[in-house]
Amino acid sequence: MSAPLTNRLRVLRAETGMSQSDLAEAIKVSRKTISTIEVGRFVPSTVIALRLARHFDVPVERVFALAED
Amino acid sequence: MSFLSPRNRAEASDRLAGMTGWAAALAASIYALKVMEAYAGETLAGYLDRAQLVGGLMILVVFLPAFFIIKRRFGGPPINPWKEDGFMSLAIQRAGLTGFATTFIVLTVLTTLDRLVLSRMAAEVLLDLVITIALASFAFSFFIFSRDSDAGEAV
Repeated sequence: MSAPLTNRLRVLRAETGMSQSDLAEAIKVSRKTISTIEVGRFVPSTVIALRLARHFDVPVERVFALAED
Repeated sequence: MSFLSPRNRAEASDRLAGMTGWAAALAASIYALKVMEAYAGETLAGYLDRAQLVGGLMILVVFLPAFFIIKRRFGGPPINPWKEDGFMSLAIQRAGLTGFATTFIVLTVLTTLDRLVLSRMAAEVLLDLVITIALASFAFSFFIFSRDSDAGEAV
């Protein structure tokens, strides 16, 4: 389940003062899904990635990036 | 938030996926006991038979009702952990594939060992053994894939 994908989810969450549970509730996934995305163990679907970007009101590239970028 | 009342559909789906893994592990144990029973002495076979009954009752009395309650908890279409979008759903899908592949390989190997194994085993025992392997490989790989490297609820 690991992939060359990095993410700024923890940073964005900290900036908005949201807990994993709050974010999970907001984008309709489980808290475990959020925590495993954050540690890079789960690569989310495009739908989840877009929902996360929309929630933080940033382009999806601000949330996820390829590791070599 | 009790076990039977998850917060939302996603949490319910995760819970159903976890229960599917545990139920498969329990069912695998029941079938393994059935295989052992075929080769056990009369006294031990009696104990193994009772253990299977207890396991079967647990699935019927504990897992099935809980599964049904959680599946229907939020109304609308029933929650299906195989089709949801999330970490545990991916784990259960991957475990299903691993279980299928393992069973296929075991069956293929068994066909090449027909004189060594198949001719010495009753068909009923062999079927129970294959079902044990299918369920155990599904449950085991599910637990591996769904291991949580969770750093906790940090803000």
